Amino acid sequence: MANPYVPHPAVIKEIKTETRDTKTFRLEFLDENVKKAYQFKPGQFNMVGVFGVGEAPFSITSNPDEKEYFEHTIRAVGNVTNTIHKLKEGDILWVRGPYGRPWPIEEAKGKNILIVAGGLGLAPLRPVIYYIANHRDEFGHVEVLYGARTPLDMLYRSEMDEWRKIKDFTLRLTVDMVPEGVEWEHRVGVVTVLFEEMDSRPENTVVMVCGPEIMMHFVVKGLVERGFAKNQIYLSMERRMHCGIGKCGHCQIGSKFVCRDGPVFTFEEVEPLPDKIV
Amino acid sequence: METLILRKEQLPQFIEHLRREYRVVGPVKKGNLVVFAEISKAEDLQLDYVTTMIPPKKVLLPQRETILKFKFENETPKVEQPAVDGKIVLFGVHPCDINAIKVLDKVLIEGEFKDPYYAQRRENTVIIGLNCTKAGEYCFCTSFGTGPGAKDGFDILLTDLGDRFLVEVGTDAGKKIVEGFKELSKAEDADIAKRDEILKKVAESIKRRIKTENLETLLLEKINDKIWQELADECLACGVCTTVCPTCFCYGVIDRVSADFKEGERIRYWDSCMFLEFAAVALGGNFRPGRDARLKHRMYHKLVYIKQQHGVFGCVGCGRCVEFCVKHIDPVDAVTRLSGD
Repeated sequence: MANPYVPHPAVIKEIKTETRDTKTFRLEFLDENVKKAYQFKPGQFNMVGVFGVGEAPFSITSNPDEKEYFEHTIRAVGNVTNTIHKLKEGDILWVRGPYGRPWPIEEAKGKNILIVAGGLGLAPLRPVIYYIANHRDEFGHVEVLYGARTPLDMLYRSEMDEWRKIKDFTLRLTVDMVPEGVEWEHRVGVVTVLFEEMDSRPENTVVMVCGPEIMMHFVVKGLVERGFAKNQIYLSMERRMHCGIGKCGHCQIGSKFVCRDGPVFTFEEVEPLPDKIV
Repeated sequence: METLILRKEQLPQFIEHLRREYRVVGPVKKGNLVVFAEISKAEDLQLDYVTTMIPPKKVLLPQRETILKFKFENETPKVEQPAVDGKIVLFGVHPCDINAIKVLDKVLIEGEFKDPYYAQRRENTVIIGLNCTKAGEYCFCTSFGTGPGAKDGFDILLTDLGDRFLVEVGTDAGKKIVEGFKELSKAEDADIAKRDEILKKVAESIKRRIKTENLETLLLEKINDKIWQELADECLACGVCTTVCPTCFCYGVIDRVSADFKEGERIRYWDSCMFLEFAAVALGGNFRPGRDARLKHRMYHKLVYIKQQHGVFGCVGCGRCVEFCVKHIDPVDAVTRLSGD
């Protein structure tokens, strides 16, 4: 019987510092067969761990068409993440996955895409941006609204020039505040201020939202006010998980297991659930 | 279904017969309680018990178990999967607990991923059920059709008819066991009639009742009722309700490393959604910080959510969560009040 609790060793090939507390880890499975069999969809996550410390769920943040490696963008906030942050290139992480329901890439084909991200919430949406760039003709107009606390908290800033070169792709940025001495030429204010300038309209559009739940709460509210339907808005939810495979019960919200039924849900599915902010 | 008779004086031989191939775990007296424990002879059994404190789930999903072992031998740790114990007979399991195991099977075995440890133990386990000949103070199994008689979910089912047990065979594994024990005689129609008469009497003696029709609708309508805060004010969030619940499966996982840092274990342990930390997330967030939210999550999981997920109630009416709750917080009472009866 295959044991889904057994993780596979993956070597850290590269570590990139994104912000003062967040790094992107490029990983490659040691076992060739595991590497060959591994294939994720944008929005899915892995359970990543260090033996002796523990495991936690992390969204996969890399190009889904890349077969050699995958990436996780990790903020140091707890035991597992602080331990991972201390690792160096060549060290081993233990990975099992991919798990969970991905972003609705298939449903989005032939349609426009609106992405709204807050802070670290851009991480699980980065594979979507890669996918769009790789398969540009399969989608209509793509617009990304991204907000962070300060310009220094923005993920993937060095990649944004490349993103802007994608055909028919608009990237709009805002920050809550600009610290003294930091250059900033975009908007200031919470992410919903970008609604004032966005081109996206409800017609023929799929919306993908990820960020802190309080941010998603206001984003969804603003979108619904602008005529977007609850079933065209997709959210990625986050909860504590100990198993990732629908057994341990930690990530349950009402009748949904975030690990198995999500992490991506429509707002229509999320709205009636208890114990949430969005 | 094949029906046979096991005379009570044959029970020691029957247990011997089982022990040739299986470890036998059954109800045993321990202090003022009856617990499921391994037995070596029939005299160890306490078959007139009503309900154990800890349900037999502990045999299939132990309170604490190692799910992985690791050795730091060189740069890359070596990972080992522990083997599960051998073949077990769970003897004398009451119908509520048999039905609870059916719920655990759905959660832990069905779906894309199997829990490998539970699934292997389940494959290695024979269930010899025991219909109830008396009900406890807190029982309400008749509400869910999970007792006092079992309909399925057992390999063999016994009913105490006084000087003899009626033996019903439910599966091939059960059939193999009774075929290997030649001393059983055929049951008469009168034995079956006697079983029905006993079960009817026990069912009639159970007065506590949850109305299950439209229960989901009722509870979803009443999700913000003041009763939840009232119950939460009583609740100590101690988690005993989840510990003694035969269908509670939630677990936590923790790594433990030896003092010399040479090896360690990944351990899972029964966790409880009644604990403050259960739904805590990074940076101090918690999605069920209040006892009302946690108590409601537990009761709704049993009576609404698991039904939406797996089509069955997560409550089998065993009454343990009421009996062992320091404040006797009672879902029967809660639902009765909410339905206005």
